[in-house]
Amino acid sequence: MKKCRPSYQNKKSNTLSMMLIALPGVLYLLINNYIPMGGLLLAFKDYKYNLGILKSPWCGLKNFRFLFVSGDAGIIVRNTLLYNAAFIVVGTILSLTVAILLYELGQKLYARFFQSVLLFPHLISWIVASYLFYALLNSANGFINNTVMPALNLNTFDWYAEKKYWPAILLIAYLWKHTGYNAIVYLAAISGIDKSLYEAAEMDGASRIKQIFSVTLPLLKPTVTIMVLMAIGRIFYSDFGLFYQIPMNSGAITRVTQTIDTYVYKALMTNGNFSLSSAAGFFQSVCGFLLITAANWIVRKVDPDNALY
Amino acid sequence: MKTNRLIAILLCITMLLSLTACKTEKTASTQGTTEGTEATKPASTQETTEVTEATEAAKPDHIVFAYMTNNNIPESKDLLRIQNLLNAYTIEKINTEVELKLFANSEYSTQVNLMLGGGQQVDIYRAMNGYPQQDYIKNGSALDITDYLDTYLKETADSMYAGLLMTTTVGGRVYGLNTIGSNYVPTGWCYRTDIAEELNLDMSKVSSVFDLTEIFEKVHEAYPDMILNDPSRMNNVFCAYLQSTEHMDALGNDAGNPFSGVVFGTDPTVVNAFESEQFYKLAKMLEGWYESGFFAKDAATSTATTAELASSGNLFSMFAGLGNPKIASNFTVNYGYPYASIRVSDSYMQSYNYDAWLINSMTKAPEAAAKFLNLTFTDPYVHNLLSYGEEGVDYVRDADGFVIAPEGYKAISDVPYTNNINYYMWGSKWLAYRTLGGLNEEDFQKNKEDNYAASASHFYGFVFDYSDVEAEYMAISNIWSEYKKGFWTGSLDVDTALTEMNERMYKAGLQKVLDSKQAQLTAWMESNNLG
Repeated sequence: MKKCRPSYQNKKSNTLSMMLIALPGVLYLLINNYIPMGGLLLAFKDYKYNLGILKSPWCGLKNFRFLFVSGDAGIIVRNTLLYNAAFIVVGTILSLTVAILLYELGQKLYARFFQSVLLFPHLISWIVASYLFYALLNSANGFINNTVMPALNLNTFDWYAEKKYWPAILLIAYLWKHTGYNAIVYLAAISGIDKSLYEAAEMDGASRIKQIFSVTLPLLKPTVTIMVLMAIGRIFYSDFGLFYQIPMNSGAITRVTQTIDTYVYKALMTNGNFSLSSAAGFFQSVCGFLLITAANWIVRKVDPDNALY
Repeated sequence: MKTNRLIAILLCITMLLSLTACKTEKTASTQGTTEGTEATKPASTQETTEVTEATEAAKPDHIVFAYMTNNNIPESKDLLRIQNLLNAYTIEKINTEVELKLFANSEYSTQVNLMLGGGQQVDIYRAMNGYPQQDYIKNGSALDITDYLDTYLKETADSMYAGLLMTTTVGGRVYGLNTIGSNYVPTGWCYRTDIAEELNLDMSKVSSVFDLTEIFEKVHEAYPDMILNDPSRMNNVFCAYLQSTEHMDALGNDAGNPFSGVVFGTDPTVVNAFESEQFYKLAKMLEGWYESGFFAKDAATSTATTAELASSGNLFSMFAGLGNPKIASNFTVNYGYPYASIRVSDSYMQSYNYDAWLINSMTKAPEAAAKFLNLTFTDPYVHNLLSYGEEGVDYVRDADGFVIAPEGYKAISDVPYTNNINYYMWGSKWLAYRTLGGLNEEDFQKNKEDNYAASASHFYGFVFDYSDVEAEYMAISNIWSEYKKGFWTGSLDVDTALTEMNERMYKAGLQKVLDSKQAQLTAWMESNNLG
């Protein structure tokens, strides 16, 4: 085949077809992410159904007052940030560990087996998972209250009414679902490491542990940085299914299980108030934007190559 | 190169197609359903079109009626069958085509709110599930129907008892119509008669909720694993004691959720219910019940419905409003275990009814909507069609005129279409045919009289508008929803929880809400010349 040099004409039509390919994605972005931004107007309006969004009277920051009067703003921001921070730190460490262990396992059959077992929870929807957890935690018939607690000689109680255990339960639920999937990303990165490095290390007498800390981990750093950065970019967005389904909407524990997303949803569905939920959503967007900008700024100072923009 | 470009274009087209396909499919399916409704219209509609052609009447108006069910949701073909029967009748009578939208009670308000907010067509809907009509009037989604009361809704307005329109009136204009027949609702306690007989329980001693402790002790001794109380119905206990016995008026909230200030009796001082002795006394009693094991351990967080608990046979009793004095027979039929009811309180109406039917302010056919609303209040055929379905198919009437299951069905709840549990939720419940085992003629007349003469709060007609303190009101409401199930089921430590909750509520501005309510109440009393 003759190597063809793109002429101007060719280049132009190439760009056109490229743009055509991008078009559906761009349209999707426009329809899904940009047009709904008009709804943000609602956050500043006293929404009247019969007047519509544009004609409803302006009400200044009245809708935002609700978030702060109730003290809810502080709580939902705290919950969202702390949970996500815990997920990022513990999640990353755990998936790295799992990935390294899987790699060290070496034998294909074993590795495949464990990989599949670990990945399986990722394929289960939160709503199904919520019933799996319900089967464990239900105070009357649950596995933990009926089998585990008596075996350990501990008192049983109603898990869905005890605030203090929920941060741990939600963390476990998150890890159970996502560790396997994230580990695969890291496993792929480890597989890409040049084998000769390990051979050289072995020649120098490095133990398996030493190899992990001196070869594997340093070479994984860029992957970890990108994964963590991406997670930080989404730190203001909570996993709705996790926080809404797993606590089974139990009122007694809302203070520790409520995040911005579930709050917006509840404000709309239980209070039926479009303006208040828009205000909460707007608040989330602004905080999220500030945080991403800050995170990116820090990364650019420390490690310019890994900055998002 | 050429093949590459071809592939690129092909890919592009398929992606575009797949995107648009979703859309066209959707429109196609909606077209399908509308075509379906037209195609399946019975011959009678054709007849009526001939009639309308003959009289040269206008094309029938199309309205959407959103209503609710506590029975099983019927299959769409059965709902369509009822809709067609209804239309055959309404097109002839009021030249209006009615589209039925049916939702389960529990999700009704959420669905209606989304429809209203999303601008979907819904012409007639009802306030329920803790969304009082006041909210709909405030957000502008309820139509001012004052002028129709002399015309299309005249018949309905005439049948209403005195004052029933007061609670849908704001600034002299009427925005909705409360259902007729929910004014007289004593609280009942329904128990399993088989167990009561077996244990020789003396029910004649029971006249208030406090008398039940002794009964529960005996049953708990004999059946330690039995759930003695349905936790999902505990707000009835608050209604029985606080509202109907102590004459508390939550002025805009219901007795089970009295979070925004209440008055007791005729004293016009607005107080925080959670600091009253009455609330404390009741909460303490429930705490005792919970500690004695009368509830399931997970009562406060359980999501089991009455039907699930009762049908399992492990539920001894539940509380229920006795709007229908024979509600126990309803439970017996629906859940398969024998229940009887005892009155544990009288009836006392608060300042506010919650259950108004409203017309959407954005409706394109307000007159047609008013005409149909009038039919639901006054026309026995429409009422019974919505409640029991098609005569001869979904129910039959025995020689005495009672509704019974048609041949081949065990109970009236098993048939393809029935909405019999909710029969009182639209219009006037006295239009409904009576069911076998339900009210006899004497009960029926008595119930009607009781309703027209129901005792009401001194402040009946007062409507609290929380616009000025909306942020505080919502904040308090959210705090209450964290604790309410704990108080209802006694699973909280009452002393510490009450202090903690009150503290949080005052911090969130409860005092401001109480002051606002007090000011409005005082002004209202002055304008109504009440001392």
